[in-house]
Amino acid sequence: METTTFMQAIISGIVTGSIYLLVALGINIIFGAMRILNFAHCTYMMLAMYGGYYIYVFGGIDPYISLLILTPLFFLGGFATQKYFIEKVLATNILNQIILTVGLFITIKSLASLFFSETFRMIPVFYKTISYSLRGVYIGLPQLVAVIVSISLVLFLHLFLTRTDFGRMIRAASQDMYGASVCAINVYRVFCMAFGIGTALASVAGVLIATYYPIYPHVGDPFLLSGFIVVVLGGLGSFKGCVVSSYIIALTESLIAYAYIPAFQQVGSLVIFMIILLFKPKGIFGGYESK
Amino acid sequence: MLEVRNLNVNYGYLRVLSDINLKVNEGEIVCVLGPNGSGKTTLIASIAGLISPKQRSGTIIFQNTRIDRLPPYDIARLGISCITDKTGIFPEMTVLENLLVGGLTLKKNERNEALKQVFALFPVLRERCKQLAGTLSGGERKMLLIGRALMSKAKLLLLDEVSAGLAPIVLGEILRRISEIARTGKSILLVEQNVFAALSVSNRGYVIENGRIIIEDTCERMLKNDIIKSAYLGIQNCQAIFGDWKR
Amino acid sequence: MKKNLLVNVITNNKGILCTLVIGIVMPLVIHEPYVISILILYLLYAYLGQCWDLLGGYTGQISLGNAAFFGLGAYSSAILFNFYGISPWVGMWLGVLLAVGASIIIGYPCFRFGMRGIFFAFFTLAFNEALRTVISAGANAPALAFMGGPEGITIKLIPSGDWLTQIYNLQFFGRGRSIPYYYIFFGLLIMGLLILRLTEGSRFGYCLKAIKADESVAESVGINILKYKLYALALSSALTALAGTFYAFYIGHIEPGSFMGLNTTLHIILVPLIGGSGYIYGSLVGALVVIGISYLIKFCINPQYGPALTSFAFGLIMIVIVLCLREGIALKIIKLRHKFMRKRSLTKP
Repeated sequence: METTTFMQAIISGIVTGSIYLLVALGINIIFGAMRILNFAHCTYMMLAMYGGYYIYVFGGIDPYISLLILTPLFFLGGFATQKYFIEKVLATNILNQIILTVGLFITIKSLASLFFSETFRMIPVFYKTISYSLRGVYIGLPQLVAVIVSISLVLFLHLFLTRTDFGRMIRAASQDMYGASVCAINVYRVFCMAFGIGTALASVAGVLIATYYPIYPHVGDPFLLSGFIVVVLGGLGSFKGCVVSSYIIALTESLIAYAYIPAFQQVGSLVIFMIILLFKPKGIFGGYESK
Repeated sequence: MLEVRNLNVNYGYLRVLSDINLKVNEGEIVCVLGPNGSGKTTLIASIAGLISPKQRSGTIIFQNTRIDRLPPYDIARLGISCITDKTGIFPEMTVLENLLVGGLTLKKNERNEALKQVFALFPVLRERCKQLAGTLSGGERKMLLIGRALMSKAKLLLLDEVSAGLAPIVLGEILRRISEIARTGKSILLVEQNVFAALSVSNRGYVIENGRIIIEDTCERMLKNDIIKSAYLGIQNCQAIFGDWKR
Repeated sequence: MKKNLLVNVITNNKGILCTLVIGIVMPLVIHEPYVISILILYLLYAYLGQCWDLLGGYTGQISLGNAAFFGLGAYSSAILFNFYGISPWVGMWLGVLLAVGASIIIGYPCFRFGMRGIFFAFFTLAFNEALRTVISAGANAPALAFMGGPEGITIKLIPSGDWLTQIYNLQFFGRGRSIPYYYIFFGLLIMGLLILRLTEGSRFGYCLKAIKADESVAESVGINILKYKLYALALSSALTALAGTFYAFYIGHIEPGSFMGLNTTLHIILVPLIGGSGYIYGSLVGALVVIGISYLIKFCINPQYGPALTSFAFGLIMIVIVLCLREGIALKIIKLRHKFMRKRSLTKP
């Protein structure tokens, strides 16, 4: 492969990796708290993309600004999902949890199909076509913004989790539910907040890519797959692991797409995933004892 | 201060505790003794609110407030701190963070005060304050648990089998601290397997067997009680065994 | 002595015998080909539901990728038939072999490292998607073009009036062409029932149920979890692949989207979930509901919205089932009957 194509693949991988990072961190926070892997996670991402689209089309508000409206909205949505749906099955076996989240996944996606139809949409923002290049390697403005916003958000999240009281409450409730209860932490509310934060992260990821990615009801599916792979590869519940593995997976996919066939990129990352798992079954930074 | 009336707890069809009546007064250390499976841990869990109200009946009153229908976090907020292995440390957080979580209900400056007190009581925690709690030894973990409970300025501490898995020297250290804590005005309910240890620090004691309280007395009298001596302190049995050995 | 044995067999297998009788008699009574085709679909989904249930309801492992095995069975026999003229009765065993191989590849990493159920679910889904992507690559990967790409493969039609050739090729013609297919799928269903019945009574089934109930306890009793999970997965996938072959030849055309898509998997999962998983007749009831709902929607709603609305209905049902009706309809009915009968015996003087 030529150097410019290689560098282009790297840039593309970094951009996608930043998005995967947001999605995967969302999944991780939810898993860390409640040991639930939310199948419907990326449907919220898809809904956020439609949100950004319609707010732009009907209100003329730029997607990056509508982020400020949409993020809290999706936080509340996640909070409600946890409170009214997930909580009910937390105590039961894992089969029920899987079926519930898969059910949500299908319901939300089919509702989107019904209301928005399957046509591809794109947000016609003026800056979509602006790109910067360095020695033949291009990066679009929306992609650049996506990387910057994503990394800043991740840093902010890390500080939030490690330095603030709220963050410590979430981590405490994730590590020992009963221990947290006797420290006067309302673990049920903390779980709802964790779910809300996870969903909000997915929604931010959605709006960020909505500026340059086509929007359709199934757009979240590849992100869900890759997101799960990233989370497991990095080690469930590990923040560091998430960061590292999201870029590993994104770069792998990008290189396969540029060097070979775009359609096979997920096949490739799946293979890499299975290989790494054979050597490190708990993930790269596998901390958590999966039950 | 704490009053338990007619507590009954079931696990399914199994009656674990029957008709328990218990009192802890201010500044007292009360111990609860009994063999394995007698329901001691269940008692602590019930008071702390960790057992679903559907499985129990009876009243628990703490400083004139009924707490038996409250969730554990509300009970903690009222000033009861529970220290058991089930409500354990947060392994992936540092010792300092564990303590900070314990003091969540306090304001910044109160928290620093409390932190100083805890470090004074358990200097080893100050040494290890940046270490991950999961890497601590068993005794240090117990100290961390107690320290975390103290951070919230709790008025009543519930200790479940503090002696479990501890070397005797470490146990002695912890017991000394427990007495010091009681001297500062806090009340302690101590559930113990190690009868010697428990009786040496407590003021009063209860003995539970098969879910019922069979003995309720001050510790001095309990030490002289024949039933306790033979069943739990094994004094007569010890002599018999050693007698055989010597031969 | 022999008469007693016969009576015993009949009373113990009332359900299966009833189903056998009804099923055999049905096409003799109903002649409308459209109804027969609906029945065939019902039989197919009931059977596929049973295959899934073997792993899901009995062993407690949720697979979201059964459609992949279905497709493997379909594609392998179709390719062997189209390119080499090999009869599907032989070709279907390649499908079975591939399915078992694939299930070991997926199952071993998942079960070996004791990952939670959700990983297995996710792995099967990922595997399904990966396989589907590879098979539909078509134009992008010339090496794989023989698989027909996104449009799929059409099975070569070899019209023949001769009964033997028709059976050999699994292609039937003329009026009442669906009826042989009906009996084939009915045979599959009965086989499924028998397999589930045998499993339930055997040590194999006992181990599976133990694994579902509590894995660590099962392990401590000496059950080799890895082995039994792999067996269940292999059996489930092999049986599914068989159905794939027969359905491919019934329809005559294989499309990766419809054979191996998420939609198919969804239908498969819903059957035992609604009807009662872990129960032999659960899939029979569940398939009734699933087929019923899809046809209801098909008839009543504007076809443009059909697929999405069906998915929506199914998704909603899944949520409702988990929140309210955990065991599925068949088991719920049995429970209610028990309750009713207990009440009656309590009120007896």
